[in-house]
Amino acid sequence: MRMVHAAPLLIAVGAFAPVLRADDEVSLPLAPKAVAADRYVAPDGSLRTDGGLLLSSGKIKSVREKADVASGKGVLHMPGAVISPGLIDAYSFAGVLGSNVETAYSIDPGANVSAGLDLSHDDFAAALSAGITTALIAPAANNLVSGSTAVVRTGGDGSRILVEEGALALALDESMLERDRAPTSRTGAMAMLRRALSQAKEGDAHERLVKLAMGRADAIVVAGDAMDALSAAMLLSEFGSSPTLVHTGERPALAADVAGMVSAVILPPYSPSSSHLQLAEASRFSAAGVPVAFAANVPVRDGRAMRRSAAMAVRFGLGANEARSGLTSIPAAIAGVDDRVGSLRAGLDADFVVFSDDPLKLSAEVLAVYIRGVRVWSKDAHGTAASDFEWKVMP
Amino acid sequence: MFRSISSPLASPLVLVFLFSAFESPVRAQLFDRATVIENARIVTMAGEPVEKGEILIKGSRIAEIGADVKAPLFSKRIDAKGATITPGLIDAWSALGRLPTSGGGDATSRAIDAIDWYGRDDFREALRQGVTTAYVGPGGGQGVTGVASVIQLVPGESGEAGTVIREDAAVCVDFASDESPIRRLKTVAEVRKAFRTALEYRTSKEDYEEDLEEYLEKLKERRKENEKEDAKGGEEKKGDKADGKGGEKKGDKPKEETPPKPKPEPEPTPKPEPDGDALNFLSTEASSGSGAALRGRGPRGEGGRDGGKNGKKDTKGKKDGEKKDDEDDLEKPVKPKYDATSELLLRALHGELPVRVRADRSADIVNALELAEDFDLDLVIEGGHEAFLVRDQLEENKTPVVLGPQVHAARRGSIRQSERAGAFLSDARVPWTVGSGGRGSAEARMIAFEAQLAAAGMDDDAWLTKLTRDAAAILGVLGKTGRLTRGAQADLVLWSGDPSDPASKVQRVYVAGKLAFVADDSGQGNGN
Repeated sequence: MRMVHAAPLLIAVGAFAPVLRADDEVSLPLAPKAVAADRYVAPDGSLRTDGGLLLSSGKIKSVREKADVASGKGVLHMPGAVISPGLIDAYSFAGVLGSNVETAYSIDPGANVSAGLDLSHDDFAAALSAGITTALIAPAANNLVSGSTAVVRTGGDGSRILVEEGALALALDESMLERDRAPTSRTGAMAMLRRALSQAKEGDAHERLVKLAMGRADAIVVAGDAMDALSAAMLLSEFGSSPTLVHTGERPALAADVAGMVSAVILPPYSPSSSHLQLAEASRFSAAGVPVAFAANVPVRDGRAMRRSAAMAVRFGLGANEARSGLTSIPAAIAGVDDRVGSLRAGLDADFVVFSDDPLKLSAEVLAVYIRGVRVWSKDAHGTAASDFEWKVMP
Repeated sequence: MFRSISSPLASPLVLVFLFSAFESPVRAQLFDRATVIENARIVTMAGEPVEKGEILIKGSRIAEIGADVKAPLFSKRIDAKGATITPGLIDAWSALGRLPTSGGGDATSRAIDAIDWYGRDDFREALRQGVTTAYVGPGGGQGVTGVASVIQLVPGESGEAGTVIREDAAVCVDFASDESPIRRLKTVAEVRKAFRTALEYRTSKEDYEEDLEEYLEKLKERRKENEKEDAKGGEEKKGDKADGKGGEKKGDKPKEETPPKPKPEPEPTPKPEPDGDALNFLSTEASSGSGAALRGRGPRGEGGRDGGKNGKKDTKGKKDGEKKDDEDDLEKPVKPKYDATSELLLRALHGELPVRVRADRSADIVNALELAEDFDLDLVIEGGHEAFLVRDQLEENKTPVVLGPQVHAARRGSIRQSERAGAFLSDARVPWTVGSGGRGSAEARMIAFEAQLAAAGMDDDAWLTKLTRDAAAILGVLGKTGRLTRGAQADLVLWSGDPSDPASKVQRVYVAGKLAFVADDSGQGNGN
């Protein structure tokens, strides 16, 4: 249709942007040297105006005033848009074909989810188009200990694996109880985990478990029910570990009870039928001092699920700044990559998204995505989704 | 003590007392006070927003709206403090209030029978998010699934949480539920057949009416003839009558055309009631089996009502003896058996009710369009994941689309989806709105978020227009709700800020002029 013929033209225009004359000219260079941001998301999650980013070698060199960024060739400017750090999916299953968990043994600390990753999988392109630039890939929650998670970039050239062997994935959740191998019950699971950690403390176990038992490893624990969450937090705190909790349930008191014992909470995507208690979880954890991160669970949900959860959480009490942090800097910290991505700060990689409005507003759309300072996706170039499906008239 | 009050003074006091105690119109005005909401930004959906305005609500309606309204005495004044007022949100594809056990899934299912009017929690949560009206479908099934209703979340007198504003809002059809393409095609074929059957049913009903008229005419004529004949042979008639009674007893003789009575007249014409009313045979006894069989009594049951009369009539005729029904002459026509599905579909065929077809795949949407074209139906597409792919065809008849929940699975499966579905439809001028999806009662709350996602890429307030004015138009209730204008029903929401800002909270909701929801002071009301 119309867009098809326009697309190559627009890419051409974008790549060789003419000299900016007026303040309202649109310029989306392929590899800008600076960004003139009418609005941007600051490291504390707030929306600020008139910012300028100087980029160099794929990183953010410094953050200035917009006025400091001379207009001209190679400067990215989208009037009215909001520049945000690339969104980080705190709990993703992207890029995995089939099951990524070996369920024969429920304690499998040596497994690596990165071994089963297909980086060219469609899931990553889908996530990218929603503004997600980094994803923490987790194994399915079918084992008590499922091995390590991984952190990957969803696009761009060069190395996309940020962390090959990341935080240890644990699950104290119904989905972990299998019929044909231990543990088959919650009490059995707790006993098994306690035994494993106690032995590991003596040094007699896989090194990852040893580290965990010494309180020197990061762990992400999936716990659906509040009791699971509380039990997991208490057990791990005995071993000096303060895990990140992936919590799907809803118990008003939980936040206060686990506040001192967990380092962060990942909230899976809300659905339209999530109860108002669940929706208020985010604000309760935040009020109790526990940082909250949102997840899209790609491919279970599309990338927009994260922003939708964030918006719903705000409607039910979470602060807007905390919500924006929950899409960016907090998942970066959970994934251990906050020195590389997740905020618009000097020294970090230039992974950012051009949104048409505040990312918390669901009518805002992704206009362009940059990874390491290079444009890897833009609405015009990739056309509208319709053009993906409609017959194209070949020139 | 009273003696000291002089009479002239006492009477006015008494009058005042009587006046205040018994003068009902004044008391009524005091207690049904008008409400004025002032100091608000009013998004009317009927023109430009009023940046700083007031609304006067009288009874269930908006009496006045503008920069300044004339508030009557004793009206309740509410200072909105800069809040934004919008029309109440409309969930155009909802399951709000519908009990999970509603089941059904055929033409006789009615959404209204499955709604729990006392299910306060879901209604309250929906109000908290600004929802005031919902279209509730019957839920479940394939093919023709029943009748939907439009309800409003008006608090009722005896505790019910809502009222019906359109009891029969649409005939619901589902083309989407089955994964298997073959079964979906079969469903389409079955629905087409059902519509054809409805048309045949209508024809047979019309034929029946014609035939019945004809029959009654002929009956009248015969009666006249018989009366003439009776006038001639009076005694014989009496004798026959006596025998006629005997004839009833002889009714067990099968297949005997003529009961053994002396019959001077060879003419086999029936003898109608002397009082002239051809159908008044209620006094007759049980009909003769043979007579009934011969006279084509027709099936029992539904048709039995008339069939019974038929039989009785035969008896009467037989009783009189002389005038016999000729088998070929004057058979009482048989009323077609009542067909609930056809009756329902006829309402759609006659343009009384729109047809809401749930269809996601473009092929199914096209099938629905063809169905509507062939049977001249008012079509609304529900779901419409792939509607954006066939938007030009939808535009031809301005077929509206009610989209569902907007966050999908990333691995698309066999249904293609677009995040800019709404923008595409709008570009092609296809009317559309968003519903919560008709699956769970609790989902109605989130309609504002779904609409914002669906309107990605459009103007800032497009989502709000879709949920108010456009939804009302598609549901056929625009005269009542969906806009804030003088005379419209007072369905409105006060938002603490811009409704599209998730940090905004709903402060108050009025439905039909009644205060249906007030946010508690703790702000969000979460954790209750």
